[in-house]
Amino acid sequence: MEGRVNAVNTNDFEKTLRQLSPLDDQAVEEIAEIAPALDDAAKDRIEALCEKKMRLETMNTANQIHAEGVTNITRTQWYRPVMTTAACLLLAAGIGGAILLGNHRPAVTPPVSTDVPATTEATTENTSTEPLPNDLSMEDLRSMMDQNVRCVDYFLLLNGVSYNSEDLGDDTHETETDAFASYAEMKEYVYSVFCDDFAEELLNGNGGVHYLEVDGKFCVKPRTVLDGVSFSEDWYSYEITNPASVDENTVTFDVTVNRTYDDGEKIPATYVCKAIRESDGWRLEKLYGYDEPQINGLYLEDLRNLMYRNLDCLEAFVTTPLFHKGEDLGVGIYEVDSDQFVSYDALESYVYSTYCDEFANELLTSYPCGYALYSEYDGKFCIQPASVFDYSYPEEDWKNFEITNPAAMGDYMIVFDVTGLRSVATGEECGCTCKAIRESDGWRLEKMYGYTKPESSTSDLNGFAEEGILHELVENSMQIHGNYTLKSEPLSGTTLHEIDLSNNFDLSLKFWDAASFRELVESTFTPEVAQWVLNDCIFKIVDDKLYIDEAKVAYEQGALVDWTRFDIEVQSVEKIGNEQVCTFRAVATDDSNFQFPDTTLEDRTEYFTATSSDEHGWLLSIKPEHLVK
Amino acid sequence: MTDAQWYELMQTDPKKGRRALIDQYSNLVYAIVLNKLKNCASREDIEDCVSDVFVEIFRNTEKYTPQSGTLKGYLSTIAKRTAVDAWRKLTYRQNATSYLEEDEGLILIADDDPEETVSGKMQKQRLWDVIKGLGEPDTSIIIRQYFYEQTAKEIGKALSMTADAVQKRSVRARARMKKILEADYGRKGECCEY
Repeated sequence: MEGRVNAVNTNDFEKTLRQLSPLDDQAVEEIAEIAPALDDAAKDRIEALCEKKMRLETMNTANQIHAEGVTNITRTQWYRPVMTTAACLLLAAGIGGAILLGNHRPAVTPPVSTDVPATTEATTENTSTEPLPNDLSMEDLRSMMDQNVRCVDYFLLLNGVSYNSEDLGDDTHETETDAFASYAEMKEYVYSVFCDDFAEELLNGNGGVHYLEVDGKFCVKPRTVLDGVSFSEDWYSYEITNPASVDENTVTFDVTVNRTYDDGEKIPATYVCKAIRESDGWRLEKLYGYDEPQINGLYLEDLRNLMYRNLDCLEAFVTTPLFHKGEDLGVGIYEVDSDQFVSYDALESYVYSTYCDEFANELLTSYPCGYALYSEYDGKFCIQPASVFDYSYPEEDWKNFEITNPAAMGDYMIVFDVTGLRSVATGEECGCTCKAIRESDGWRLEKMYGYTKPESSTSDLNGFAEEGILHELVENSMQIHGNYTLKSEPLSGTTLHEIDLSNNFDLSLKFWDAASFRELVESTFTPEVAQWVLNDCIFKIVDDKLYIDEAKVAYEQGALVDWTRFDIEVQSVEKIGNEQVCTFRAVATDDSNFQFPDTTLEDRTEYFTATSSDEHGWLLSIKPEHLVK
Repeated sequence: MTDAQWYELMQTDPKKGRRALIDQYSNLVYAIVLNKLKNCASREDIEDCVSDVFVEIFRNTEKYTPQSGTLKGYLSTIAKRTAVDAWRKLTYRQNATSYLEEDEGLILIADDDPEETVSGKMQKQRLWDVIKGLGEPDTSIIIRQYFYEQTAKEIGKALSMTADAVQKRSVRARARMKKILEADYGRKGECCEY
């Protein structure tokens, strides 16, 4: 049993907590009741998913072909597809290079055809000044692009390929298509259209629908790959222009298709295509189609990713510092406990790949944004939380942000707007203008966005975070003031009674014994007031036990008002030396179930003063009226 | 809403009925699915699986009548089955040695000693009892932090607290839990290795 003495060590305990699930059915039911995870927005999402799946099923059912007892699902229409960010990136990185003429915005209207087009309405116009090689005519280029159109259908839209509903594992289904008799035939076809490197990439499923052979069967993983793309392209009518020989083995030409955006606006998109001579003929360099517009060589998706990284940093440094293990290492810092960033190096590298060096350095070495400072201490990844006072910023909800109006400012800068943010405090929509800068090894944000650095001398105290803190202080204070059922027998020779926890241990009780009471008091009041609350108020600690002095209890006071719901109204904030002094009042709200009808506003109002210092944050600094007996 | 009322609503206004069922039971279904898929699925996968459960119910509305049992039980059963299917799908590629024991809803490692597993179950039960005993909001914070794996900010939003307050309460709650479990160990002197 040696060693079991330390059995409940911090690491094991954390590990156990992290492996809390799977729990038994009863526990899971209780969890769902105690801590429901889904808000209305999540329920809306689930409802929308259900409706979509049912719609899709209905349509598939309508298109079912029955053969020998198995159900074939044929995607006769292209639904707005679902693409992961990764797939999108692959597409962006691997396929095409569109230049959208006249307007930068993403694109869609679904092509509805199910059949591979036998012919297209392609038109060609040779405006080249360089003659094409002898073995490549405009007709050849058109023929190559016709094959490109087929591959857009097969690999991007999953059109014209039906498949068996039976899952052979890992969402792999046998194809039921006349287009190709076997996987080998498709492979041969792809190699005959594209250069070898790209053909191999495409057949491996990178950037497109993955076709494969399983046990000799021609199979497909029927994922769709264009989610997030907000446009459609009409590849049944394209135009080839500007063919030009770059050298004897390379020809470039522009292919223009009509793009239709969600709102119906049509804008032509031009792809700069390349045909390359291989040993046995001409091939396309890659698949062209559904490529997002670029600004200064950067895709919108890359800008979005930069902003997601900004959001991660905003959370880690400002709004939601990484969890720590709670044990002060003795110098005011704590070991980080995070799956998101497992080491200081990981965090540092993330920051440097998100922001320009100058800002990254500032973020990592000082408190430019007010909350957390990370470091490596004694080989451990540590956090040094700043005082709560520092983080007075307007918090914003970044769930649905959008990037709009991206514009190149020279070759090394892109300016864009981020819209769709909501102020958490006021609910008002807000946004910001951001800058991305091209550095030697990629694009970075100029600085952190979504955060307003607090003015150190300001007397304004309207920020959400501070109000939340004041709210909690009042809540703590009111708990101490609350009425409790006492055990009937007092401590011998005194008027001190223990609290009858069996009658009082309700869900919102913030303290339950002497230690938790002391902790609550010390984190609520300044040391002087805390001393008074601990020694002279209605509570008394004797021999590490918590008692209520019945002689000091005035049950009637405050009993008329329910203090579980109240608003904070800040009246003034003054800066005195290094401290701020905030005078505010708490007003119990009208919707209480327990208020007596004849209470006045004054009955429902308590006045407070709180002091804030860098060292301690906000603490109540005068004796609250309701505790003065 | 009672089971019979829901059944009736599905006959008269299926769309409203579907939404009502999601409103009433999505949290339960989410918890069941998460309980099975937590270690192998993203939040999106889990929501997708939750929607599969409801689609399954909506597709087979006629199979359920109030006489055939409680809606909650029916839903829970389908949720567990669907989650197991999703688990199989998601872990197909992994060279997993584990398997799902569907009836008990436990993921057992193939080479686990059964007695260890029983002991593990007891520990989990005790841990769960301790979490419940923390009182609110600490119970919710710990559940959200460790079961749902929410961030302090998300937890704060759900519980109308600041992220900082969540952080502080979480640290205190864990310290209390540790103390209680240590006391457990002190009393029993056995099988309480947390």
